[in-house]
Amino acid sequence: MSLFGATSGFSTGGTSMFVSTTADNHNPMKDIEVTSPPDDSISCLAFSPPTLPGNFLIAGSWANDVRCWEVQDNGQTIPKAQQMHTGPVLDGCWSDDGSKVFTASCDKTAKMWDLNSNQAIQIAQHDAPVKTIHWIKAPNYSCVMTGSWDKTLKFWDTRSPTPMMTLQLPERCYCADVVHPMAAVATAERGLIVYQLENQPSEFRRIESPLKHQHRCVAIFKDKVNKPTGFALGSIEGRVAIHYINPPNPAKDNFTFKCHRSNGTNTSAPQDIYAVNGIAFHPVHGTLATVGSDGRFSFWDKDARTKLKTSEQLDQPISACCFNHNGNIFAYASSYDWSKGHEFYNPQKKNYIFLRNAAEELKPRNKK
Amino acid sequence: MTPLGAVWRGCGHHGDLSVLPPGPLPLRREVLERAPPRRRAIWALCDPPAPRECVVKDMETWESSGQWALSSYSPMEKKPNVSGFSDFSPEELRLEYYNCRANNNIQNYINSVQQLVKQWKSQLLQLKTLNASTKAALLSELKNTAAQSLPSFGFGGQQTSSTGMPTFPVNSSSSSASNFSFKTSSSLVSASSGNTPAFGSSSGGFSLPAFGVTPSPSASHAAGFGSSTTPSAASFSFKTSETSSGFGASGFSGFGSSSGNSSGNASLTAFGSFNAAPSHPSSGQTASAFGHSITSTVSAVTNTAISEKLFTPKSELSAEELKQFEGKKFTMGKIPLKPPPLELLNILGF
Repeated sequence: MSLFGATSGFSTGGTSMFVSTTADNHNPMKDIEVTSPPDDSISCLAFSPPTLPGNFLIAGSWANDVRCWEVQDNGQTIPKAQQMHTGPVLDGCWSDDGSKVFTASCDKTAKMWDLNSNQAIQIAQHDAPVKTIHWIKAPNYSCVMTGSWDKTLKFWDTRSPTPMMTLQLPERCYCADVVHPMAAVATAERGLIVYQLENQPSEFRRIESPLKHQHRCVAIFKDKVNKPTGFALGSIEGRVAIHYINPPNPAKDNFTFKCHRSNGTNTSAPQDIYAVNGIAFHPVHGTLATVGSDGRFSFWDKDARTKLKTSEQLDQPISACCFNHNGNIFAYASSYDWSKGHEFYNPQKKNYIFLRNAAEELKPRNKK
Repeated sequence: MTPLGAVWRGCGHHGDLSVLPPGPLPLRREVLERAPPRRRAIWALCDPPAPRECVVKDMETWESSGQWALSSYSPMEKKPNVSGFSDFSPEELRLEYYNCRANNNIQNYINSVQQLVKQWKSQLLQLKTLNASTKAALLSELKNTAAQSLPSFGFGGQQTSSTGMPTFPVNSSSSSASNFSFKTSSSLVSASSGNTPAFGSSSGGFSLPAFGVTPSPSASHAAGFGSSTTPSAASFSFKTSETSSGFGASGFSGFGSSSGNSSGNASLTAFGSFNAAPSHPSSGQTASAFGHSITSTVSAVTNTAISEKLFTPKSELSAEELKQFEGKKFTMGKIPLKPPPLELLNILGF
């Protein structure tokens, strides 16, 4: 029974064996449920890189664990293994060859998980929880980048306890993304920095925030020749900014759009505004997905400036999302995200990860 | 449990259907492409109206929308933060809760959050009730600060330096404030006009997809870097020769309970300097991002007399009062009870 107010009038009528038969709203999109989901809120999702045959999904959670499933072509999900931190896991990513998974935790460490041996070792240490972790693969170096609430960005050779480099952030790291040779980091107090990663990481530009409220998620997008050219930045105020690094006409090319808001039929009533919890770009189409505290996901075409689709409303926020390497699968996690404080936290409520075929729904609106 | 003001609403309606042509919802792309631009889904751009109205409107929206309260704020993009609003992410609060819960000290968390929310409301109210002259003062201050191009964001001085962790506040204040709530009843605000047409839910004939190429045998990789003492749940291999007998039932027995594997922080031979003992985040560390912000900004808020008149003309102030206002800091015992004159309002601490 949901703690959240009145449910909507959706009927699930699910016939899938994955969906419970009681009329509830936990899977209104009738998407595939990943088996053995974590026992607490899911903070991050990541699919394996194309170097691995097949599809493997990792999820980090507030139960201190990171889990790995194999996702088969028929949609079946098979739990493979899991590792633990001593604090909630906030982020995770894969190495480019798919042999390692890196995890970042509130226990102020990051770990490297060798999937073949199922051994995990600590590879990073911060003074505060580690919020973001990314693998950097440059022509002349490889390393792990961690962003922390201790206001530093650190780069780690996984064989050494000392970071290769430490860059000071203006504030606590809230979110980051890496698409070589660009990294984008958003911090508390609306900080926004872009780094260039060629030869070695260095700060490229500090950007004045295009958003008025707290930064929550960021995702880099690429141009037609597959070079990173800008990023999408989401805030807690139901809004995403599309920002190009060097556009021909910034005033025209950069823009923001509202999302994850309740419009309701009564337009004189105040609107409910929800946080954007995650942004992911489709690896082939370049369109993007956003997931929000409102329990919906939406697909957008930023070039045509149109919305492609909005899902039905789940009975929980959607806390994370990602695409697999070829864009056929969209994964999203249904978990409480603390957007309404502790009173709405129900440890008994089940957490879900859903998988959806993304090949068709994210095709761009206009052919260029 | 005390219910929050913001109720999780299932509105059951996710688009403005009026922009679509009548009849069944067109799902085909060519139909939409034929539609005139105003009928397409167009994102509403954030084009703020004149800044004076923007702040008040933003405050009204913030108050009624149920959006996250503990957020920084700037009235316009690319402007610095207005002081009095600090960023705390939901994850930071959540971690505090988990730590307090582990210490059987949830009341500490509740008190601190209530204090932060109280401070937010107070600051929001002040900005909401700005009259024209104070709005002008706010704007000029934002312009000045922007010109100084501070690398730090927010000039309220509440951002802590990186030295040490502030302690989690021991809340002794009354804080009998009303129930913790992110949403307050308030005046109405116009709803967004950026509604987009509804797209029907995915068609009923949604079949299980083919997710991609079939797996081919993978090469095994050499074991990784250094030793690990983390016991593995089961031997694990990416080789496709392993059999999988359906979900969760393979030889890995799915996932154990979350209390399964021990911490990975046990002795790491390569990292001798790290603390080998797995330390629970709550032990000893009373700190978090909460501490500094509460003490400094709360005082900024409470120093201001919130009266009907927000400013006192200079002519109405005594010499002593004027001296206090002109000084950098108030002297204890001589703090004027009247609001400051508008001309001296160059600190945006309100």
